[in-house]
Amino acid sequence: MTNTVGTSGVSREELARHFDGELTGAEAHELAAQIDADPELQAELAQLGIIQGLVSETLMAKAEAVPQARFEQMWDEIDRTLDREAKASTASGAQPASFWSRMMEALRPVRWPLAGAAAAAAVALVVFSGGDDVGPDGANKADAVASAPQPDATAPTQDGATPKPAPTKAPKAAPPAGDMMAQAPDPEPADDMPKPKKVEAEIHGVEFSGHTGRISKTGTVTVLYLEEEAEPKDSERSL
Amino acid sequence: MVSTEADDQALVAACKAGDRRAFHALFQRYERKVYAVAYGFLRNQEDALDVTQEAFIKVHRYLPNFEGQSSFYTWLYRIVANLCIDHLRRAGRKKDVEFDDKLRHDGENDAAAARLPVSTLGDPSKAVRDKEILDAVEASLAELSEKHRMVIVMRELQGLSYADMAKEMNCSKGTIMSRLFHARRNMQKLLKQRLDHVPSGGDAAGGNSGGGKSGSSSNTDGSGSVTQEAAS
Repeated sequence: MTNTVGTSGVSREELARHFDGELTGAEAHELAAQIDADPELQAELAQLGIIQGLVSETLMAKAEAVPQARFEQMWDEIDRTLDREAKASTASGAQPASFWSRMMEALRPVRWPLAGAAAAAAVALVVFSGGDDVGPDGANKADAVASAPQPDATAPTQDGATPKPAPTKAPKAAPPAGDMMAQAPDPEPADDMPKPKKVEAEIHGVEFSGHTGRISKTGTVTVLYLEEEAEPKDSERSL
Repeated sequence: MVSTEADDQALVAACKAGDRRAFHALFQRYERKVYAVAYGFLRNQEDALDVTQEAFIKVHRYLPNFEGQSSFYTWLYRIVANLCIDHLRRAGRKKDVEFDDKLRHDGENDAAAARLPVSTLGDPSKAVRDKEILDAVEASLAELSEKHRMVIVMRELQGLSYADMAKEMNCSKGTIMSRLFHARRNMQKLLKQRLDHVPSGGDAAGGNSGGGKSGSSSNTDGSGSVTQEAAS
């Protein structure tokens, strides 16, 4: 099978290259002369022109059919996006923008879970940082959280052993209001005021999907609520 | 609005200097053309609008890096083409790519028989005012394989060079040449099939244009068998 047009011996590929302006000047000049002399080549060239015209005109017609309001709406969104990027760029020292903003954008779907994990970690850190008043068995006198205000007893021992609360510092019942006022100048918390005790807590599990997390085994239970964004959920494209 | 390269360059320079209004002017100049390209690739209005928006944001973001080695619109269209290709990849719309060669333009005499009537379609801008013709073109485009549609859109609408297209499609110029050739033949065949059933087609337009030197609408081409595109 041949792939030439008419009797000229010009291939259709060559004709297409001519049509697309991909021939060199000399090649194009030579082929143009052949086309002038050959109706078959002219007809074939016309087909290329028709297809090009129909495709481009059809797609442009589809574009013209889109209401102008859609493009105006699009511009508004672009404008807002550029503003956001400009602000982010300024905030980051006018650097070429937006690696972090784009990262944040990309991480949007997991932002809440990450924030939740960070919050849980922070709570755990706070609780553990002062957790010296608990016996080695880990039994945490949860009720002592509000009833064992002993600053001295909270200091860790040199050997790292967890001290027991000093019995002599056991809290007393709250005095009458008048007595408390009389002791006012003392900047330190009054001995007879209930003071939170630093205790160790254990995290037994965090259920992000359930929006809850148990912090303490006995006694005080802290529940963290992590709310999901009601909407919108990002589409894949927006990532 | 007639856009000239000089106008584009002036607007690009103003954009680089931070002039948002200049960017808006560029947007208005190219919004529909970009959409047309995106629609040609994606065949879905909402997807095409999304890609158009994304393209302009990207253009603004990377405009400082644009050095003017190519024209602005070539650069812009390459961004659009890239985004469309990415979009198609993400969407996993690959099934018709696998059937790239399923739609074949067979036979030698077929080439002549599939010729489109110049008298009817010689002035495409008038022809597509006929809804049936416009629908036929759109349906034919939709029936092309993804790769064939890409090269058709990149070449016929965007006017990208073979080299630029090869870069976009990550293949050789030879592959592009072959792919474009077969895409056009398939398009011609599909259009012919559809337009044969369009009774009003003959009245849609007069004229006789196209590639430039036409004048004949001969159907007597008895030569030129076409080889199938090698796995491209």
